[in-house]
Amino acid sequence: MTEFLERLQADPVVMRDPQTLLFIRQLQSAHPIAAFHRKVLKHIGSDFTFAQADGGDGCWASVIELNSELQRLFGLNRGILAYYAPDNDLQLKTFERLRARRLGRPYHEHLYFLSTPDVYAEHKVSGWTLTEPYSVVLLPGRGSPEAAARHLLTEMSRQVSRRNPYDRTNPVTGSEFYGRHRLLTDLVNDLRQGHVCGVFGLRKTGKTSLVRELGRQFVKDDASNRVFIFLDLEVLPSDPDRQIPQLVSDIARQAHTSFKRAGMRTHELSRLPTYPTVGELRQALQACLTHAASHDKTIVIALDEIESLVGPDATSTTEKPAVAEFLGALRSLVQENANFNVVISGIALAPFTNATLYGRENPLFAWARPFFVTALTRTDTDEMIRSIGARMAVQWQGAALKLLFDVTGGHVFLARLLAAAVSSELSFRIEERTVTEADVSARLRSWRRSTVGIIDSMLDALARFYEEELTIFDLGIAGTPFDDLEREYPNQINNLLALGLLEEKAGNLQLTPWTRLSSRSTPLTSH
Amino acid sequence: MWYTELIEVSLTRRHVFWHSGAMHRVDPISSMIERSAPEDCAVTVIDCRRPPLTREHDLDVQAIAERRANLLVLTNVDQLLRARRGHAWLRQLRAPVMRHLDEGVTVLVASNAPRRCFPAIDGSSVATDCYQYIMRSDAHDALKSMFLDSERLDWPMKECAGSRAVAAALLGADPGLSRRERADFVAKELRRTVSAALLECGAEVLAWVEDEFLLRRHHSFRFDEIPADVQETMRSAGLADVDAATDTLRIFPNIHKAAAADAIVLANSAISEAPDEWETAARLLFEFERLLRRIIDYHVQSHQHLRKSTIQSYEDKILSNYRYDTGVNEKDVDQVPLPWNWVDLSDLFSLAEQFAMDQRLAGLTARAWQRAHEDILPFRNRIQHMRLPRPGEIERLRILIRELRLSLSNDVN
Repeated sequence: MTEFLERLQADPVVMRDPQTLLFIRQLQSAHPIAAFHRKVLKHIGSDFTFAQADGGDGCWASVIELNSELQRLFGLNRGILAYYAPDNDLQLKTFERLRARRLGRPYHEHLYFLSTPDVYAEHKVSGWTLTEPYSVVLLPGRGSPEAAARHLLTEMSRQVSRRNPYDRTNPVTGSEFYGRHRLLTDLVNDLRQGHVCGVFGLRKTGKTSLVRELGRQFVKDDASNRVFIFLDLEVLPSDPDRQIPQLVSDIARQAHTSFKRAGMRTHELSRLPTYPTVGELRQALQACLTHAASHDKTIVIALDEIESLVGPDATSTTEKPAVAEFLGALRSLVQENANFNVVISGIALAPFTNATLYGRENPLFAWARPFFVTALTRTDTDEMIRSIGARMAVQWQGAALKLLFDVTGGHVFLARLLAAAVSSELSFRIEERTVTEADVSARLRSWRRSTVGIIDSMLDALARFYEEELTIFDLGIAGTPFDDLEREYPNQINNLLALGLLEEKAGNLQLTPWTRLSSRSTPLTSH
Repeated sequence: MWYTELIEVSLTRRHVFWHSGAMHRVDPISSMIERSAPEDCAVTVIDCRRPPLTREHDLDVQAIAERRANLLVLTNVDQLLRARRGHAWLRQLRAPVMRHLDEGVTVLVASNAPRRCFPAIDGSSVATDCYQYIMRSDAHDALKSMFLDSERLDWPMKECAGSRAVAAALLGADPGLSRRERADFVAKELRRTVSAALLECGAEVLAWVEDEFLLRRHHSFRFDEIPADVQETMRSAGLADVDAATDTLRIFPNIHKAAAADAIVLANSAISEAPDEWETAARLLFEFERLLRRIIDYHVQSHQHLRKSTIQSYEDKILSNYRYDTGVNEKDVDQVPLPWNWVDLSDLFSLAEQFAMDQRLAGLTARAWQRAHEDILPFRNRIQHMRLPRPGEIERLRILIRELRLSLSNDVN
């Protein structure tokens, strides 16, 4: 640690602005402990860069700038807000009130320092870090400055690791979204050219994140003229007869709100009943889209989780004739309006490849272009793992990243799960938070045990929509060479490649790395 | 508090699945979880036995999304597997859960059934596509944190076998029980709790435990000897642990072997209605045997030289089975309608192996038919005698049926 501290001290933050130095002295008069804190900060090459009395209640707000090496290790690019509160009984609401006050300085909103005479502060702060979306680190008040400096760094590591940022099961967008630049560019271009797009992939490959990110980027480029309406079809009613009426109602409502916000005509939409027919919705949208106020606007509707509407029985039953009517209405709107388009996402290609849907001619048949979401590239996987790790002061050695990629093949969900498992075992000592190949290797066995159920269920889910593909996959695992199977079942092998279950290496077809982790690939011993 | 670590892990990992099996469950589970949460943590519990519903009996997604909490706990989620519209509710649950996660709320999914019972669904599963917390059998530590006097704690600490449920039952027992009565009480509670935990694990896991523990008397296993879902289920149920020194799985590590055997017998005898797994096995076996008859019949019909000789070689068996089943004293095999229906499954397999010697039959080689023979026949016999399917058997049969169907559809095309 001493060597590490010496390295930090060699490149210190130096505050020379006389005005700021005056405010820091005033902080030290109001809260004498701040003088000790300054000594502690000096040991880690850091210092106050801002201080001001915060209201008339004795509270002070300051900003601490960490040494550049520490900023890199903690993934920070601005200062950390440090509060000095005189309260002997500090409450969460007091801290929240302090947070709500705005300073004229940039600072991070996920990590705070706090100094308070409250003897129960440690217990309270530990609870807040669990329940609130930010971490609070108590500035140490005892010991030698050097020991306090070490303690501070360890506490910072501990607090930023309380919530492992690799653990993420909900869809991500913006800075949380990694890679797939080429796919996004192709999708945006296709949408601009008026092609309906289908985004397909297995469970947990990041389809929803991709579609949401597509929407974000699409709108961001020209926010005042672009409207993106995202509909998650998983919330549709369980009664098949009520699904289309509910979906039509949801589209009408969301379109009304979004069009109004974009300054478009909404008159026809506002006159629709709560549950309009497909025809009524089509006419209302048509009127709004062709109105002069809409000419420079572009509207995209995204239907996520299409399986909730178009099931595997779509070709064998006539249960939901309204589905074809609904998709037909969307198709005619796209054909008649250059400023309107649709994105469909899900596991199943069926909405685009079946000649019929529920006994009717399929309006989407061979009309839309399918895009497949598979694994991330090595570069994108590395970037994701490194960037997320930096948020909890975790660094990755190249060999560790290579092993992680070799095992997961860049499957985004599995790569994050493995990274979470590995990083959760690291020491909180800041100089020991670099993941090595040995760290990854040591966690592999227990990680596979805890993950194999999820991997198996990803493959099991294929049976509903890709039964033949799954059968061929199983035949391949059982020993029939995939190259032989390709001669007999070229379409199915093509789908297995598109879905990322197989890959072509040196002219041979083989399983992708993550599929080798499933228990299908390891024969069960019980029979 | 019973669930301090569970809550802490949930708040750290943010989206957690917990198999709240009988060994771990202290009722009322909702308030036990609430009491284990930190002071400033607002907990909201939704009991999936009575989920918020709309007038149309769909999940009230809006109502769930609007619940305010730091920690949202869904209890008894396994009930959704049994409810008539439960699978649709599981699907509908995803959107509000994702909304809560987006807003920084922690979501804890507690299910009395293990993760293996949740079906593979099309989209993300709120129940299973998340971190699984495997609760340790450390009720002793939970008891210690309760600051009760040592006289009250000693007995549960000594006898709970690490189970929170047993510990809670012992804490609630009449303190005036005699030594003998106490011993009986412990034995009864353990037997009841372990057998309930086994039943929650499902028929296949129970069959595996019967085979390994009761019949073969195995107590410890290398991980590659056990199906992955079985070891995960046994650990999450609190019925097994990992011996880190030898990297092996030990089953019933804290329970006296005789008590564990009693509990297995009790669990087995409690099953009087066909479990879902047995029904699935029976349905698939029916489908497979019918398919195999069709394949054999088709092959024989399409090979002139086999038509007469094949039926004749089974003439005695066909006639004997036909007479036994119908009471009709038929003497001419040509007069038996659908003669393949009277040929035993083992004979059908032998024929398939024979026909596949020179050329694949329905896509399978003679070796593959032989393997299927070895796998399916004992499985069929067990199901026929109302015993439970073992882990992996149903899936293997399902795969075989899919392979045959694919081959047949390819022949048609």
